[in-house]
Amino acid sequence: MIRFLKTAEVGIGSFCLFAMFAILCTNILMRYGFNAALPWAEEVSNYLFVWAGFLSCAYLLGKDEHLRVDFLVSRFSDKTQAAIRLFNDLVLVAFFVSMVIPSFQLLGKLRTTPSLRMPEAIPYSILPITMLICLVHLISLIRRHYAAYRDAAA
Amino acid sequence: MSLAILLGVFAILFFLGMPVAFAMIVAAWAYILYSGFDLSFMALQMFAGLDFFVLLAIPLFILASEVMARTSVAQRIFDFAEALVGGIHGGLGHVNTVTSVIFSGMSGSAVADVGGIGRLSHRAMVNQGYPAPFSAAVTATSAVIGPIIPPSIPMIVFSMVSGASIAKLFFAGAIPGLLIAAALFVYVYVVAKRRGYPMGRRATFAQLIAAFIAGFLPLMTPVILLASIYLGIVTITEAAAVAVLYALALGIFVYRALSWQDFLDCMRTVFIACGAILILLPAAKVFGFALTAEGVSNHFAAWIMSISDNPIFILIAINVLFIVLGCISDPNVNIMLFVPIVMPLANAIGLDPIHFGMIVVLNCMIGLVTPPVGGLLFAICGMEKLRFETVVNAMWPFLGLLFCILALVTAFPALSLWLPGILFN
Repeated sequence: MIRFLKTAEVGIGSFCLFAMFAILCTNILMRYGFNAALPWAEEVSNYLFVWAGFLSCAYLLGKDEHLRVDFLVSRFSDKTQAAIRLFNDLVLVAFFVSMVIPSFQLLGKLRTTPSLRMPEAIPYSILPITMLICLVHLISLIRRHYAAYRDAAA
Repeated sequence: MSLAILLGVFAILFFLGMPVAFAMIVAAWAYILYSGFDLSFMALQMFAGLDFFVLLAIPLFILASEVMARTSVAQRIFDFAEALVGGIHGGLGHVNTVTSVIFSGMSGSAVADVGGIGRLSHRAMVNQGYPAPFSAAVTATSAVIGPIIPPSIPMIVFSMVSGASIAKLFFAGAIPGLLIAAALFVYVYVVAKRRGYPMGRRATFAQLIAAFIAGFLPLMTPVILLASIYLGIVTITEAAAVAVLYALALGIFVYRALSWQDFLDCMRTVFIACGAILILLPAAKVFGFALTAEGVSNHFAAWIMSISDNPIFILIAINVLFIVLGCISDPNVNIMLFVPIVMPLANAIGLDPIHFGMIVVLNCMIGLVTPPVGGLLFAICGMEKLRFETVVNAMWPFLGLLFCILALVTAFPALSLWLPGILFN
């Protein structure tokens, strides 16, 4: 499940980046080659970028690879460190759980995008998606960190 | 009270080792819950944090250097630099610097420089008999130049938060970046001569020309990039896309070293790498919202001004603040969070926004090579299995050099403002 989720994140996210790059290049070509810039290019590539960005953040959360400062924490015993990590995970669970419903509610309050006239809810749907993915990742992180805690305590 | 919650929660989580971005997000969340704002508004702010067209340049510049790293471009640049300066005292040390300067004209991130061309130079130095900590220090210090010479991811972030012109900021970095390279050159020369470090054979003129021709196309990347930005043909974002296209054209058609599979791998690497920077933007957006709502920047400006309103004192205070921040935190975080807070102060003493940006970015880059938290030192220690302490010991003289350059850049606005001034006015 987790492995599938990670593969999907990397696949979709890299595709968004690729599509963003392709649209930007096409737009440059259209503007200078055919004197007909695509009015929607900036908007669409921008949203693709936001999607890739949020997916990448969620992916790194799952890999436990976000930038952190641990020069203080690393002085504690293994057991304490594992306990602190579990505490951090639980704080994040509380945050993401509380954000799921508000981010769905947000989708109902939006208008349409300026150039394509598509509902803004489509690009913004990445918000609840990210919140849910992060929760799934956190559950597996908690399992891993709890195992580490038990090993350190034993 | 609500400000105390914001800062308290952030400080606790930060020191408990929660990822910095999430510590900011959770602190802002606690603040928003306490002051009764709507959580869906917070979600909106997080989206808005990434919703900037200029930010698209960040993954694109990473992609350009990733594509270059997978072809023979790095080796060609290295060979050219070796033919150019390899025969002087401290030869490979200078080669290390020169490759970083050239590569910095294609990539916007210091950590990417260390991972790509820095590793190549570092290993060459160690193989020739340089002590590993010394060559690691040279590698890390020369990688600092990367985001100072355009293009530059921290400058993109700075221009986003401050509204300063990104093209002017880019060109402002050129002279300070070359100054660092010159300082490194002198220092490495003196040390290598005194300690008798090995030096390569001087290349003949014919060899130099041959190396230049072999490296000509990659060497053109910075020129194409800067010319297209200067001439205003494309936006920064599109310039980054052009750099990627050029790198791809070199890799696929000229050197035939890049397959479709490689390109997909590059995309994956960029996707994985960019999240570490990009998460900071929504985080800083919501955290910054809370700081603004509390009027922190005005309080801060008033507090510093109450101590003294001497411009020199304030310039020093700004530098000290960013040096301390640089020691314990990441450049992009510091720029996102503290530039809005310090901005009113900079305006009060009439500091030019471009000059201010240069000071901040230089500070933040120096922060990447200072203990206890220095991203570049971690990167090179992790890559080459070196002990952090030994590299830090070798770093001190280099830090001294960097602080001298910082003092010069702060004291003489012309170093940053002259070039953008003649180009854009």
